[in-house]
Amino acid sequence: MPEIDPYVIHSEPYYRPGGNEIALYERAYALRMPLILKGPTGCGKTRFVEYMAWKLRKPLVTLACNEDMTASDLVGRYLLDADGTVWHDGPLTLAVRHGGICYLDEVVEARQDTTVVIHPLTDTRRILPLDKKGEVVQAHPDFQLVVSYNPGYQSAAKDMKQSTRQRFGSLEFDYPDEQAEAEIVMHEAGVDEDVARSLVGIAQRSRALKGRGLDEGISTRMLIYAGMLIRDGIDPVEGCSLAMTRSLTDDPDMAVALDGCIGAYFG
Amino acid sequence: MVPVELAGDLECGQVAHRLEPDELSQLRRWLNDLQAEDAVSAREAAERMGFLLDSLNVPALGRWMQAGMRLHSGDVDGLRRYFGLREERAVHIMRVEAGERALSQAIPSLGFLMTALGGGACRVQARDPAPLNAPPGRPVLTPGALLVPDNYTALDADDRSLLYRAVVAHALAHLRYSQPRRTAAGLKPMTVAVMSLVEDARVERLLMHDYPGLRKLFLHFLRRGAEAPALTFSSLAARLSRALADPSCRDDNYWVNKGRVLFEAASKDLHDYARFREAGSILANDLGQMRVRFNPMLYHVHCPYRDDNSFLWDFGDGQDASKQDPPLTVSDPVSVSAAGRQNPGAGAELTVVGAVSYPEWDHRIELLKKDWCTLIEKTGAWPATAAAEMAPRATHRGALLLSPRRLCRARRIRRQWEGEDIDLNAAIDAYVDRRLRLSPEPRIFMRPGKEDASASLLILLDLSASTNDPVREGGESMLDLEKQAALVLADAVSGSATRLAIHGFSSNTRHEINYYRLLDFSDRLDERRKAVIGSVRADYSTRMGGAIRHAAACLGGETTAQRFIVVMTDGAPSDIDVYEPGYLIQDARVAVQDARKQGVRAFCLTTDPQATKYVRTIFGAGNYQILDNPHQLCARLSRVFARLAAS
Repeated sequence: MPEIDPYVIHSEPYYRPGGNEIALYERAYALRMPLILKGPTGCGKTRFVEYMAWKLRKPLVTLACNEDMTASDLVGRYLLDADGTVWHDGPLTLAVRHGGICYLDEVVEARQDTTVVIHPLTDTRRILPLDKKGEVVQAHPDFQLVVSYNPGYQSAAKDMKQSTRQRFGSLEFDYPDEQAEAEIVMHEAGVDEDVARSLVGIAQRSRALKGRGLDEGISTRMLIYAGMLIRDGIDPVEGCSLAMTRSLTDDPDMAVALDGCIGAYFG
Repeated sequence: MVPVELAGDLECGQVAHRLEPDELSQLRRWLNDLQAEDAVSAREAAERMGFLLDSLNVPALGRWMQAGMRLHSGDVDGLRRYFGLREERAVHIMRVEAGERALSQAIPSLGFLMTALGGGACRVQARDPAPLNAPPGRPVLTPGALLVPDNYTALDADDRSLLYRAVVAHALAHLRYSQPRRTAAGLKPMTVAVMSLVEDARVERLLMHDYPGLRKLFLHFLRRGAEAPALTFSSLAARLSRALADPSCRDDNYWVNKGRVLFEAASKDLHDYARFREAGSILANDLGQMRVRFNPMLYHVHCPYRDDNSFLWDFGDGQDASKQDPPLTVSDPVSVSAAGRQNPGAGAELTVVGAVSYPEWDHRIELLKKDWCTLIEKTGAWPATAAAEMAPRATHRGALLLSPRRLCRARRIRRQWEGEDIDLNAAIDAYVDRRLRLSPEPRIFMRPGKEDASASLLILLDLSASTNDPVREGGESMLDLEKQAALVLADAVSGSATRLAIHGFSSNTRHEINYYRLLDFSDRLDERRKAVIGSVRADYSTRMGGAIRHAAACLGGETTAQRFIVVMTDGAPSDIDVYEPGYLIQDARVAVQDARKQGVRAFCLTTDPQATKYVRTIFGAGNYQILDNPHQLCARLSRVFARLAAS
């Protein structure tokens, strides 16, 4: 299976479970049940899939969805080379043929008419018709489809069709609790516990402002970036400002308030 | 004694042309406050007014004057040096004040900070401004609100944003850890002051466990006040506050050290209030024995960021919030509707559906006066009269509806003969077909599509008495033209993606803003509705701000992508209980800005030839049209709508 080889994850990604999601995923994979991972940005959805792919020793084919994506971007298309027309498998077809986990990140960004191509794959048929090529691919027994999205900021216009939704099981993610998040920041950014706890405190303060001026609070990913800057000798206030507040908001009043939160921990 | 008008007269000639009337009167008041202290200083300041205003705006000038009066309180020579700019400090303070923002600009961020740090239920507001010669203000805390004084000066902090941050943090400490309204019965004023000081230190230390960065912030201000050693109450209190916040700091005063020892002994359990209260009581008793004088009339908490401690005590003066009169508000803005509006035109009488209170912006004090206006929503039909019988004609010259469609790049039309982009899939298919020796499909381009703009439009008719005047002798009145324009547009958009409502307003003092929902978003424009709109009569005045606030609230329930208010009027906002011309204009401006924050854009069509003076202030550049000929109203309204929806 040379084509799929680059998608195999060889070293263990760091993942700190927040509940029994690993066991749940394993059971769902045993049934090859398609899964939706829901949760705010930067809370660890992608990392979780990487970890599970590593644990289950399956290749992971990731695709970030966008509005301009067409069905052929998923399943593949004919291209030209010197000898004539050649069929190229898309990422979804690749995973279907070779038994990988196909992960469609931010799936609601893709248009609804694009995502319907996954319908025959996600029920008992487990087939992928390639109508241009005139081929029906029967999914490899190891193939599983996983999609993710953030229900927080997407507008009502961007939603999944019920007919798509109801083919999936769902795992809900949220930011880890204080202790766990501090451990994650310590591990990933290499900072000491005091700094990690302060960063987590700032994040939790910002999450209180969600819906009251902020679309999203500060994510774990942002904390790790800030932690890395602090580890490398940047002043904590400046590091937080660079990695967190200025990226999070353009509203000067909000930025001042967030600076106040940072000052309350690193003043 | 110098005549009271002197100071005012002095600056008038020099700077009057540079200032708005309200700013001028503000300046006069300040100069009079200064004159009450020293007439010569007032003259010195007035003579330099032109120079001062070159580098300071009016609020900053007020703060500069205030700083001088506090700095040299009771020292006439000092005052004269300061206001004559013969003192380095005066120039320094001038520079600091020139760079400071007004408190009103900082309030939103303080609200966010309070919420973020965990004081979500507590609103942050500005306190009413005090006269210049008043003692320094301190924040006032209640369980639901933190009032921040507007008269901090450079003497309190070089960087006011840090001071405001400390104000919020200290208030939060009380909200979290203090029990409010303990009885002060039987306690001497000095005991209350010392116990409050110890309580301030206790709750701050508790908060610093959660937010270690606050130690530096608090100490920054505590150190400022504790520099001059003296045996007065305020000096000793300042030194004790510093010593309690900073255990590493050394103080040679026995009482201060005793306070520190008592506090540290008690702080093994910071939640044990009784021990701290006992320590405060001992310390106050010591001060009494040391014959330290305490004047409760002049006392204010020495540290600028700490509140006045009224939060902590119940002085038994019966100020219980729960006993206050219930608010005027009858119901929330949007739900004022259902019952009464079910059957319009059934009786030829107007009935009141509900009343809502709205704030009003007072630009002189930069404060949104809460629940200041009462908006009364009415429904029904006006009693028929000969004039009102004239049903507006629904077809009208010049009414051309431009269908509001706009370019939508999210919607791409693929496989086109021509376009701005190549449709890659179609192009590849074409090449593949050529290789396969099939006839290729030549439509390989892609272009952005268009979509129907889904919009909600609320037409707000000015129903003030002046609209009854005929626009031409013996012809139609402005009111008739407004009705016609609104009805023509309503007819034209019915059945499209656009949702339209026609509301009207007039006002009779702040206690009665009449608001009529003539046609609502969910209503069908049938003959009965048209008859109701035809019967509308105009009366009273134009208090625009409250009406715009209510219209924006009505639009709040709309889920369309774009929401607009189009105000049709014939004159500036006015009302019989407002004498200052700028007041209602500024209020309307703030109402328009608030609406914009809620995603509602306000636009104005006015027939007042004098409107250039104010309409831009209210609605902002590009958001108004002034019509020379009122008969164009109908055509312009349709065009404005098409433009707004396509924007």
